[in-house]
Amino acid sequence: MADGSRILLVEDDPALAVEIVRALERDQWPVDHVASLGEAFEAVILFPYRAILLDRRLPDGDGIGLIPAAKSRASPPSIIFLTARDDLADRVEGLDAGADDYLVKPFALEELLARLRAACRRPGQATRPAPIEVARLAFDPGTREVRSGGRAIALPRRELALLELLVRRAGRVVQRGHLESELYGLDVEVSANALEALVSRLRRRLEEEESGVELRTVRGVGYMLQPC
Amino acid sequence: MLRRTPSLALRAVLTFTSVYIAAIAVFLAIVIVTDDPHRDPNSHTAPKIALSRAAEDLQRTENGLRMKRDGGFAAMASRNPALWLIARSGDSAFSVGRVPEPVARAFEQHGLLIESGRFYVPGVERPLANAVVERRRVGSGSILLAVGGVDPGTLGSGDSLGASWGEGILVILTGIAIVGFAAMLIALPILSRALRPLAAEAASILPRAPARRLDEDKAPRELLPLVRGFNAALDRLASELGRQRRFIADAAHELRTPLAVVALRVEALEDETDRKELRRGLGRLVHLVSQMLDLERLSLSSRERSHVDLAALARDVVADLAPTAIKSGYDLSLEAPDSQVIVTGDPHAISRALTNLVGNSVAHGGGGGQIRVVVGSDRIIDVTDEGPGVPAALQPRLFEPFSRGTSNAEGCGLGLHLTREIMRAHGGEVRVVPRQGGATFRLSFAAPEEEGRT
Repeated sequence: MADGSRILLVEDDPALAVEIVRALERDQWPVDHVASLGEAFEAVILFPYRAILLDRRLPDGDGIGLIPAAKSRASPPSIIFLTARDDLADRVEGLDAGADDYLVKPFALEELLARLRAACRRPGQATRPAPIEVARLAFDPGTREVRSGGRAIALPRRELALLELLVRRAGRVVQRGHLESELYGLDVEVSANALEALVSRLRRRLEEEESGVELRTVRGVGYMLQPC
Repeated sequence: MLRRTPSLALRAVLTFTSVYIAAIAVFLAIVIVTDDPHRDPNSHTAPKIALSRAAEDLQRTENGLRMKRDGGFAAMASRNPALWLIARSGDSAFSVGRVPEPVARAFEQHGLLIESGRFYVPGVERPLANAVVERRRVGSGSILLAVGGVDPGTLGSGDSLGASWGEGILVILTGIAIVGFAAMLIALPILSRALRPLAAEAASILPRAPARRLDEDKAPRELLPLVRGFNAALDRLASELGRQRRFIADAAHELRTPLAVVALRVEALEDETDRKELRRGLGRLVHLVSQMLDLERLSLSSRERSHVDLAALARDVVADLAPTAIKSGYDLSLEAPDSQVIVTGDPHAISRALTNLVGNSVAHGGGGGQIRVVVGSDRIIDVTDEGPGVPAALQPRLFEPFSRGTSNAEGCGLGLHLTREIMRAHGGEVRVVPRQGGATFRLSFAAPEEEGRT
């Protein structure tokens, strides 16, 4: 990572700090560590950090106190606070104070790195969305192009819309009510079987194309797209 | 076993009896002191008593009037040498002692006209001069009696009491006693009825509503010390309970930072197998810690409440859990009425209660078959699987913390317990419904609260 992505870790627990620093350095992030709010103020004034990992419970005060100072910099760093409390009120308080994200201890390393990457590219870096892939099926959210094993598939308008809704939430259940209102709108009276007929057409098509995905019905709830 | 519950009724009866006896004793003392015939030379009490005795002891026979030899009058006569009596009934007359001449003459001449009177015999020293005359009914006829010459010093206090208050005094005293007992028997149930609302209120103070107290405004003033003492005891218990809950929460919080350290160290491990195993173990630890926190947060009844549609809530829960259930080999489905099923509660907590049940079925449902979630319009949610069912031996402790089946599945030692605590906080319950094959867990909710109640 470039020098413009230096990170400040504010954490008073020495063991946790050592582990985070070690993990970040393994992933090539340059990182400074301070253990108190006072040192953190100094560090923020001395160096334009890209992101700050901020513990809230510090020996000389609440980490939230650092946020206004950090945000007053010319290019303000992203702030991710680390909390041992996953109370809703606690998180809202942190986000309201100006933090960009939060992580609840204990967190997985993968998650920490993902949040850091997200925080560092956030301002105005709208990248082109990558195609969503499930098994051999690929859906490009930009062009709405569907491919199975590299082969383009043409789908009727409604089936394509249904596939888009399902593929964007692949591996999770999309509820009937949501599908109906998205596909048919709120004011059109939908016959009870319309959605089911549409689903079975799409299901047959996905099978024919050997896309390697199946469209499962969760009775009473909705549908889910998943690899076979 | 000998059971001794001190009875209020018994105590009241004893108190009443002793007060009553004491009052009578005081009353008698006053009467005796003030009515002492010795003090007043003008008192005709002594001859009056003698006359009453004579009237009791006189009998009319074919041969005229006769006096009982062993009666009260005879006894009195033996103590009073100066005692005289003259009695007349129709033609027959009877006399005892030396009847003063003027009296005898007056009897002879005016016997039929006299009803009653009191007089002094001239020439006799007082109090022996005091005499009374009175007509008394004896059997079918009447007798005119005159008595005098009684020395008051020979009379007992009982005699004088009877004379001054009449024989009715006993009846009156008995009457007062009966009325007193009756009043007490009526008053005691009234007293215990006054206690009943308080007892009902006390019975409604449950672990899920630990903030409730007895209403001091509704308590009778006499019972206020008891009510206050009771409430103070509850306050002390609640604060102790709160301390323990806070301790659990604090302990769980404190565990999070060291867990984070271990989690990062595990990620740094070279050996892939080690890392996987440690990650699994760590996952369980993290799960347990978050359950401990949930227990503190979700099972408190003081949380904000709103109207919750069980059908929509169950749909969301089933949607969330379906991927996991499907991956584990189950077919998860929902049956819910088209209309809303409204209860009052904390939607987050209720979701959690249902999630734990479905999660339990995924863990212990035998690894295949159907898991059905059925929402009833009578505010019931059933979660049914086709697994081996709940072993009978496990059932009594099923909802206790850390009670887990023998199966080796990843346990949620606090899951069912948390569900029970949440249901209790909502005035509902969770239970196992007996069933052939598989297990059914049932959540039942109380009717929704009216608007305006918290």
